[in-house]
Amino acid sequence: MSQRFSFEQEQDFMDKLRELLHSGTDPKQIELHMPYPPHGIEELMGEKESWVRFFSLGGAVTGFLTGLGFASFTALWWPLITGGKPILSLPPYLLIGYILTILFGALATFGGFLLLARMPSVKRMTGPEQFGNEFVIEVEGETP
Amino acid sequence: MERRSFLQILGMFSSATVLSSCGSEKDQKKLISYLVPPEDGVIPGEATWSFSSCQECAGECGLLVRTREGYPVKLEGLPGHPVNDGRLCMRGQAALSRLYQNERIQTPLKKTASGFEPVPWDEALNQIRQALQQEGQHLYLSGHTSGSLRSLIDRFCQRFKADYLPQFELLNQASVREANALLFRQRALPGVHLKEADLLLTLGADVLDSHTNPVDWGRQLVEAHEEPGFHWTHIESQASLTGVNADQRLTLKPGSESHLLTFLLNLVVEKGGKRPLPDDFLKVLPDLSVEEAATATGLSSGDLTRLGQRFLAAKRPALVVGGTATTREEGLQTALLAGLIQWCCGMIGTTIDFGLSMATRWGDQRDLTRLQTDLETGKAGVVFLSRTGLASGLPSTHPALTALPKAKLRVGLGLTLDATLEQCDLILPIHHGLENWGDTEPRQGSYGLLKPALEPQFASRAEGDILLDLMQSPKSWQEFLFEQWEARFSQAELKRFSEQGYIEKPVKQGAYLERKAAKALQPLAPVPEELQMLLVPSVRGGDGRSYEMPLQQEIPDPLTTISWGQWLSVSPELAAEKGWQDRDMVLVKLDGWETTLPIKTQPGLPKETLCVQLGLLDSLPPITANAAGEPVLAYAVQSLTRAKGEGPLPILSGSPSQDGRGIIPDPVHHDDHHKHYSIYEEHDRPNYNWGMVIDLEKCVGCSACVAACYVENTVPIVGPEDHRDGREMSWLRIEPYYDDHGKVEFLPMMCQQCLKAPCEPVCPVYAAYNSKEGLNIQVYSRCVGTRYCANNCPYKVRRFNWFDHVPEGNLQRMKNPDLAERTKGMMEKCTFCIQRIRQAKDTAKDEERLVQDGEVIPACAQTCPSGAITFGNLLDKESKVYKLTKSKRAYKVHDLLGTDSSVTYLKPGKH
Amino acid sequence: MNSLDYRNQIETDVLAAMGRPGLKYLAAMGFCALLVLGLLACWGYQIFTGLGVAGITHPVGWGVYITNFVFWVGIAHSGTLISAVLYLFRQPFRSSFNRAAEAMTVVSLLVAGLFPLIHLGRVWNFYYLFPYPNQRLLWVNFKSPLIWDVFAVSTYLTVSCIFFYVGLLPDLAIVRRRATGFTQKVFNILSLGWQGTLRQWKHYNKLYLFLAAFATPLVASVHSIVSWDFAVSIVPGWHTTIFAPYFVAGAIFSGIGMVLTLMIPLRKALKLEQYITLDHFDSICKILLFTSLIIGFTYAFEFALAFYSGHKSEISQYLYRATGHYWPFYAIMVFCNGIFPLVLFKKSLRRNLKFLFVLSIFVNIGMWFERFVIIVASLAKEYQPYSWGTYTPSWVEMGITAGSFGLFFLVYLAFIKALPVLSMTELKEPHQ
Repeated sequence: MSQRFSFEQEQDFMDKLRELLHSGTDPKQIELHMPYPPHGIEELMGEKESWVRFFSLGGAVTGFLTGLGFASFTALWWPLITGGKPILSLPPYLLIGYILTILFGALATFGGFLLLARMPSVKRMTGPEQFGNEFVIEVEGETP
Repeated sequence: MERRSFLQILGMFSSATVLSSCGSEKDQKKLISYLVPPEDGVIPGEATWSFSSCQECAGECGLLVRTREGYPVKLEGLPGHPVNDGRLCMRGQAALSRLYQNERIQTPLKKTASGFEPVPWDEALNQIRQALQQEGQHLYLSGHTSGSLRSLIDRFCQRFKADYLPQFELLNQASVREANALLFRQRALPGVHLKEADLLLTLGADVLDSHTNPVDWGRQLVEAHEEPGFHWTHIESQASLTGVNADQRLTLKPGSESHLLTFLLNLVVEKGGKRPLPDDFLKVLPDLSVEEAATATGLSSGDLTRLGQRFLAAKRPALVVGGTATTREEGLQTALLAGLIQWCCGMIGTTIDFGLSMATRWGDQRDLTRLQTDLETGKAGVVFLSRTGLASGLPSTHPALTALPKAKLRVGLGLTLDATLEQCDLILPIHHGLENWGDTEPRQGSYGLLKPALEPQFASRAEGDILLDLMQSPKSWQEFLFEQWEARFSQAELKRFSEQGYIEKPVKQGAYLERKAAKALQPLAPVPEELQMLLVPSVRGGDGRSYEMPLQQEIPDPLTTISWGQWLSVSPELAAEKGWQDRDMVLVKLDGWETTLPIKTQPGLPKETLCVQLGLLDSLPPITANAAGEPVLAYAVQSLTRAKGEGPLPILSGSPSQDGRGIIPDPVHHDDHHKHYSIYEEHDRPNYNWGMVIDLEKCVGCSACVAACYVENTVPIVGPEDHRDGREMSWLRIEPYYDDHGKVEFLPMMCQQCLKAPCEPVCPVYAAYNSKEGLNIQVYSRCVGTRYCANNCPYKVRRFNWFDHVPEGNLQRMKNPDLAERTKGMMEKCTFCIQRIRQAKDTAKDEERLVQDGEVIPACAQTCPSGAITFGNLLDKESKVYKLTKSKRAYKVHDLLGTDSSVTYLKPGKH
Repeated sequence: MNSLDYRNQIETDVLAAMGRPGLKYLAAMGFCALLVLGLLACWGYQIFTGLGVAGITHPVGWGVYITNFVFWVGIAHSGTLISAVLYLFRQPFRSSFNRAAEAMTVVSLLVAGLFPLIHLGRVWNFYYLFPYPNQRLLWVNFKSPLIWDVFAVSTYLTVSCIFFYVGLLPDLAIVRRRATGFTQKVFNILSLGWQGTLRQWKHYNKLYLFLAAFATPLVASVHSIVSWDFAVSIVPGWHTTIFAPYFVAGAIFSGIGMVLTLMIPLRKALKLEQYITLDHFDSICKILLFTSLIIGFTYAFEFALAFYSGHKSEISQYLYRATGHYWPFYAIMVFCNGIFPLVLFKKSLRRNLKFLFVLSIFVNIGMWFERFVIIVASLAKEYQPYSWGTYTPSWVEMGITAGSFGLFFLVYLAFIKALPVLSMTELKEPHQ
């Protein structure tokens, strides 16, 4: 069995949520739907910090190494002299590394988000339940 | 001629020929061609070389013809040849395009009411034969012809009682030849021994443009300058390429040449020359003081005095007159005075040699009168016009041309249906020189060989074969030729002739002074006061005929950098006075002729002179002849006014001045403080680092290198519109830079093959990179056309293919198959003729050695008449090019940019 | 301010813009489509005939095409500035502009990306520029600024698209909720199943923050890299170290100009006066003013640098710009970018929308000519005096340039009808 509470005001919603948690409801039982995230909601629900940051870091580091390595590798693969510069010219290759840092970082962050937020969700895409412009609390199972 | 000896001679001359492996279509030669296949057959991808002679002007330089897969692709000078020794001028380089021009006549043509229609050879020749049987004075007029063909025409004319008129050349030097005939009983243009001379004075004679043989002159002048103390003064009333290259250039008022020479002769007589001037001459020689001479010529009396002193002080002076000095009413006077100075100073027989005369049988304008009289009286029967260029050299109103229709039959022989042949009833296509056997006699005692380098492309015939056929001789032209050679040469000489393509049999010719000539000396004519327009020959067009070849207009005039179109050269003073700018249209009115032309200011041009190059005008002003029969090409200008608008004149140079940028520095700064230190290590270049040294002291700006580059590298000819947009494709160009005094220096500019090339790293796709041999490589097929390389090239030598440039029709045969194809959207540039480097490296590799110094010569260096360009391996400390880079005059253009270029220039001047 | 009514009102107001297109709208679309057709025709003609149909020549190898490229890339920058940089600095006024500005970024980058292709001599081989091994296993030259460009611009486009899309996500769910039929199906998919759950919001907030962090250096780096296309060369007038900051300031300046050009009519047409207020314009004009000062300073400083170098070619290049063949364009750029915007010191003018619209047009024109002068005048007078020359654009180049504006406005107009032009979610959020 589940319960649903809808609120027009952010304040009412927060109050109800606090009340529920205070009464011992497990946050895992609670599903929220919000038009925007009210301030302090994550702390209230005891959420740990998002893992997206590790995806960002991983993507960025991979991107940098890929860019630098790729540019260096292709230059050494077929060494051609241009403008008397060394075959392995670090400054431009660092630049490629930098650009790929951002590209890979952004892509990985987005990918990480989709993964962590479990999106796209076929179920929600095909027959989504609408919650309007209201703050909604759904509680699964028994509440104390 | 015995068949045996014919085959013997043919064998001798065919040993290296590429012709006829596939068999000729032409009657009797068919048999022979199977007997004498080329030694190795035709090997695809391998070039063969054969001898020929250039037919572009009467200079008749020896040629080596490079043939690939049966088609000539490049002409080079024949090494050792007495007149050009391996060099060619730009006209000679371009001459190949005459062979392949699409306008070539392919079959005999007959004039009908509806235009020209093809007829079979038999029909055409029969018609001529019948006409020759009929009454009338037959006439034969040809352009410059030397060697055995001239003998054959003589026989032909004897056989048919035809009048072989002296040959027609517009610039016939008749004044000098007439003066020499009067004074020395030699109707000839003597040769000059520059090596013997310590002073050269040229008056009007544009020796580096068109006079006699510019290649020979260029070569000799460089050799002469190697002697310390040699000095060359050029005096002219125009601004020619010749003038700007002289050690000293003086300009005089047009028409005052005879005054100057009178002044000089008086000085010589006063001082007492090597030979006395006979009284007969002294009596008629006008007296002329320095002041009078100065007033007449417009030169300062200081200049005149110094000129006189220098002339008198010279031990072995040489004086040459011609060009604009004699194409005047008083031309004969000028030539006579020059002859007398030559006599008195002892030049005749030392520096001036009649033994080296050009072996011409040119006529003059008076001979045209002969033609005209015969025509007008209705006497003329068959008139043969062979290679005359009569209608392009003369205005269409000239009586000799207007009377032509009165002949019973006009037969034209030539390569193309030009204005002259269009006047004819029957047109017979003849072989191009490269398709034909023949010989030349560029000057007395020198013989050049013409051997076919390819099968005739059309149903043309040798002029000799046509004449022999008309004479119903059983002989072929080839047989006739061999007979002539057999009679002229010993067996040993014949062998040499066949092996080296030329032969020299020096002629000694003395001279004495004919006193009666004094009668011909006239009093001095007053110097005309009004503005004069001169028609002048040019280095590109010669007497105008070479302008028929598009390449000659594609390559800009070295002085003005104008490529396509006609213009009027005006002195900067006159332009400033009138407030005119370059390209402004003006209306020039002469007596009975007027035209509008765009102007170009030409520093160094006397204010009294306007100049137009021969061969560029749409319609010529009337041409009269002087007393010697030389055409008068100087006209009094009746009015000169501004016309509407601007002419679409492509002036390729963006700036006549080098803007103080030290592109041709003076002096060269050897600045150790600004040595380039690189934080990068030098790249390893194991065997070669190709480099070039260009001696600007030797460079005369003649643009032969440019033409050679165009032909060697199949550089597209893009035409006037692209030129006006700044889209010329030249890989190599001559940049003229004028100083404030109007003095000009030339700088040949091509890819500098920088070792630290700015163009390379900016290419996103590695189409530009530096090879292990220090070459700046451009991979055409890799290029996507971002044009960044061209933007980043400080020398601006990269050329972008804005469109596809496919040569039309037959001209595709000129394509050098060794080069990669370029299509629209690709960047291209000079590669130091990498195809030649590759070939030399292949040979060296087969012989397991490195390429030796002098083994690779790019096309530009190969042809340079003055030997200004040296190419070689900079890593070889013994190489000529390495030693030259150590010269005190050595510098690199834009060295401050640290491009580390491989082209070193030697600044002009001795030190 | 935080009632359900307020939130619903925002949705109604913003989504009203997505209603049935009016006649004026359709006419504008049609006109832009014609311009785009013109672009395609000109480009096709150029491909088949050769690049010679454009006016570019020796020595001016780059002309209007590269001018347009730099111009459009520059426009893109203010979008990122407004959405990412101002987000990190927590500037509330950004919410009124960011969606429209981000859309402008994406669209102008799409347009900009065309020009490197259009200007190629052999566009059919454009893939040579991408990092792949050809049959000889030769890759691209990473030392070439043009390859940096390929990477920088494509990265910028990718990141901008992600950022734009991520920002849209909650709004797409709103559209989905309020739409019916086919539109709803489309937005069902586009919104990826967004339901505003805590998990989604938690990761979403971090995602948005990190994307903003990734996009922020792009504001500085992409136009720096574009400027290095020039600065890394040795062309006098290009080869100067101030180019990167100069170009970035110019990019933001021109981008803000374009934002004004777009937003002032948009605000009126879509009746969004309530959300995009004069205060917002006031704030954004301060950025415009600030960048104008930087640019004005650079114009003067360039001369100082040229003279300080003591190099003949540098000095004569700058004198040529100011007094030579292209002096009218130089005068236009100095006036429009360096002088005219200084009137924004006056507060009343910063709040006068009619005036701002006119000013923004001047800014657009001025910045276009700035790029033209930098590119063309520098190439026209380089080191070798023989090779000095001038350039005049041909009708093909003009047609393609006009077409690029057509394409920009066409796609932008489509955006207005297809997606919410303001970030409804952000507007709902209470500030402070």
